Amino acid sequence: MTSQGEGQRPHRGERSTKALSTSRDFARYQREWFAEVQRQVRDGGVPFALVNADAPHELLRAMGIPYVVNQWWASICAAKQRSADYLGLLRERGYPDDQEPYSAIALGSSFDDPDEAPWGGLPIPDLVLAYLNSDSTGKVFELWAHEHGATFFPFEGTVHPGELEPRWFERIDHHWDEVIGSERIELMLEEMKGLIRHLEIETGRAFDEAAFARVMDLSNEHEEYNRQTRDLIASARPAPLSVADGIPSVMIPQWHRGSEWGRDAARRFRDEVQARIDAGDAAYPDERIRLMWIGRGLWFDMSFYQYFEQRFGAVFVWSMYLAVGADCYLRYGGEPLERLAARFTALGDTYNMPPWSSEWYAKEAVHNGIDGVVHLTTDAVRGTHFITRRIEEAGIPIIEISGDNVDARAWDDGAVKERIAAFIEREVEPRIAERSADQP
Amino acid sequence: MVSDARTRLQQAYAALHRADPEGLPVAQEAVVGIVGTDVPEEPIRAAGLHPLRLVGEPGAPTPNADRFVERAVDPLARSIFERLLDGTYGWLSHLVLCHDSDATVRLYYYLRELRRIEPDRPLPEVAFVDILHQPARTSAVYTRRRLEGFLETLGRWSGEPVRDEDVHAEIVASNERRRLLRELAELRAVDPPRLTGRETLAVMGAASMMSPGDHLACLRQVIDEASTPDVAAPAARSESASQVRTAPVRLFVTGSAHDGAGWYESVESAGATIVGEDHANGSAGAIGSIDEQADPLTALTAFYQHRTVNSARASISRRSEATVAGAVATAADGVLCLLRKQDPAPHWDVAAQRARLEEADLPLESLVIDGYRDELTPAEQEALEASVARLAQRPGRRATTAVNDDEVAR
Repeated sequence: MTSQGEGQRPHRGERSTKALSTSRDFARYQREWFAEVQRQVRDGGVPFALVNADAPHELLRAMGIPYVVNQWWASICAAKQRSADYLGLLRERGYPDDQEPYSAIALGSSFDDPDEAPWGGLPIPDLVLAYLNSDSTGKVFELWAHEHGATFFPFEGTVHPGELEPRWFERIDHHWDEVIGSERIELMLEEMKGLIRHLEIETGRAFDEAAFARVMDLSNEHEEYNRQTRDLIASARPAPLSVADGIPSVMIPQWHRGSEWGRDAARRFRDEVQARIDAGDAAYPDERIRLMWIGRGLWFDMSFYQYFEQRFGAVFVWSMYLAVGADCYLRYGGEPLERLAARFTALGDTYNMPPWSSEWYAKEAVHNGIDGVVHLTTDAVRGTHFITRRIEEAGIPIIEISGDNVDARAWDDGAVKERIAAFIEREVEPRIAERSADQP
Repeated sequence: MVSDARTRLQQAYAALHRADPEGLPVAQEAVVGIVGTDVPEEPIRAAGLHPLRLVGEPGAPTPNADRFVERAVDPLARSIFERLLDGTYGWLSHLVLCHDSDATVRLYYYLRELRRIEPDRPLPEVAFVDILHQPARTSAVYTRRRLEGFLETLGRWSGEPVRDEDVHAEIVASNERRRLLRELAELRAVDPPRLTGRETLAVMGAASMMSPGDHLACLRQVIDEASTPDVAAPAARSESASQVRTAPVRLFVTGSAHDGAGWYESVESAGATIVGEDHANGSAGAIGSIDEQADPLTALTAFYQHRTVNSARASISRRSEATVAGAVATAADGVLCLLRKQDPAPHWDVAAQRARLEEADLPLESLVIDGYRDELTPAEQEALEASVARLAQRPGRRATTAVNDDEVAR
């Protein structure tokens, strides 16, 4: 892992420069929405949920239960440079501060004084949902129950015991039962029914099938816009935006998936990208290199992605967030609840399990005309070797950088930037020159 | 004098760790390697096959595995993967992995993918048995379906469908073995204990390298010997004529799983006897019985679903309850939590374990070891000895014991 010297303060990141109105407007909306959630919870009578990113939020949306996504809150804490503090609060209570920070930081923040916390602090949830896809996830979420009395509803993480079709993305939209496996989907379907019944009893609210069907239709529309946006950026030269704009413009609406605002925001983002392409607006007009960032967003320093533009004309044009929206969520056919189960069963596998992850990243790299890949290998990432190998087989240079996307304590920013700079100089630029020489 | 049974068990345990196929009780083709603590052995035996628990080589470099396995993955799993890649287990035709931890799941994914993209690399055929552990009917239904699939796979490997009556017979045999192992565990709980922790690991681990009949015979002999009134535990034995000596501190071990006795040797050389543990390769693996009246698959599902021996698949609350129950049942003076740094799950259990143990007036000491090795660094050894010394000073602990027949036989 890249590492600073002992006793040094954690790296403090900076805000990125936003070029898109959507990224600015969506951030403003998110702040207003969060304030409203805090007000609702404070005034009482409204159950509130904390959910992991790979748990089926759509059920809560259909029942009008406000929720915050665990990883979104972790990104806010990281952006406000509070990760180290919150990991320290975990350590004070005898919990590990170095296991899955992305999942655990919100728990750490719950021990902070709300007056000191970002945006007034995360309300204490009544309900927490998580898909058990790691050794720590169930533990972290159980502690929400132990420390704060929340009800923890886990979804079992499952493994497909056999061969898989590597290019899942070609068929999963419509043939999800064959691609994923019916046993896994049926398990999640039954678990979701159990959650629905639990929510009906606890809240006194009925599960409205029509409202839920509408949520599912809106979420599909939302992701179809993301697919269009991904394809626009893939074919545009120069890129109309970098991931510094793209990530917030994608992810804030993603947490409102299934709402009209979310769908409209995805459409608005697509429209702004199209408008920028039509006007010839670029993330960096003198773009010479298209970079891909594989891994979670570097929430404590989004300006990192823009560092290489001036020095190399290198623009990070791809991050997983828009592409996951484009390829991993869409489900058609069957009943709405079945489609939701099919969406979340194996969602993590699409980008975190070989051969699904390796084939998909390689496909995206080729589709987006990527010249070089930077792969952030956090501890939670599976199949690192196979991703790197498959990208190299596709003829694209790739560098692995170890580190955590929310825990800046061990992040040596200078060293990482120099490694990537050397990678660009020694591998990416020569490969581009070779390609140019080969072209008639 | 060490008995013939103990010698055979120690030799089998050593052969297990050498990964020596010459010591196997069956032909190599009939062996099914297993990785992880959740693979049910009863169906394997019912298929006429022999389950062999794969183990790593503590402290050995892992250059082959390092190419494929991430830095943060439990080095115990990495070491097993190394032995699959470097030819140590090259003779193995079939391998079953399970959902006991993220590390084992990764090994399955990587083996499956390597077989796909490097078909010429000599690797066993791999299967995965996805046993879930939430205490929910939905998890049981899924798990049962996966066990059905597992039986089909075993039938294909053995050349014959696995019959229900054979699974039932193996369940009965397995229950008998567990009953005897629980008897053995009780002999550790007496004062002084009749077996050390490392002896127990050898007794249990040797099963992989012996026929069921041979292992049961040796197990019965060890129990008979340890139950004899004039036999004291090796840790309590003394060449001296002194009738009173300092009793080793009695420790219950929790934390990471152990696939070998290396750390146990360090602990028991530091003035302690390990009288129990809550990981699957120790006495906790003998807890419970499989329902012999129920349909075999239903019975297997229920048994394996509800086990708590694996921290990664058990809640903090159930783990801490099991730790307290185990420590009390074995009359431990305290609990020693031994953690591998790269084994995340048990790190989350420690705070609750400590709190529950305080309620039972039992202290907990924890040590984190970076890596998978038997040899402790000087700092780790010092920390271990300090922990044992602190646990030995627990108020109310009887620090000495009189050695005579009446005292030893309870």
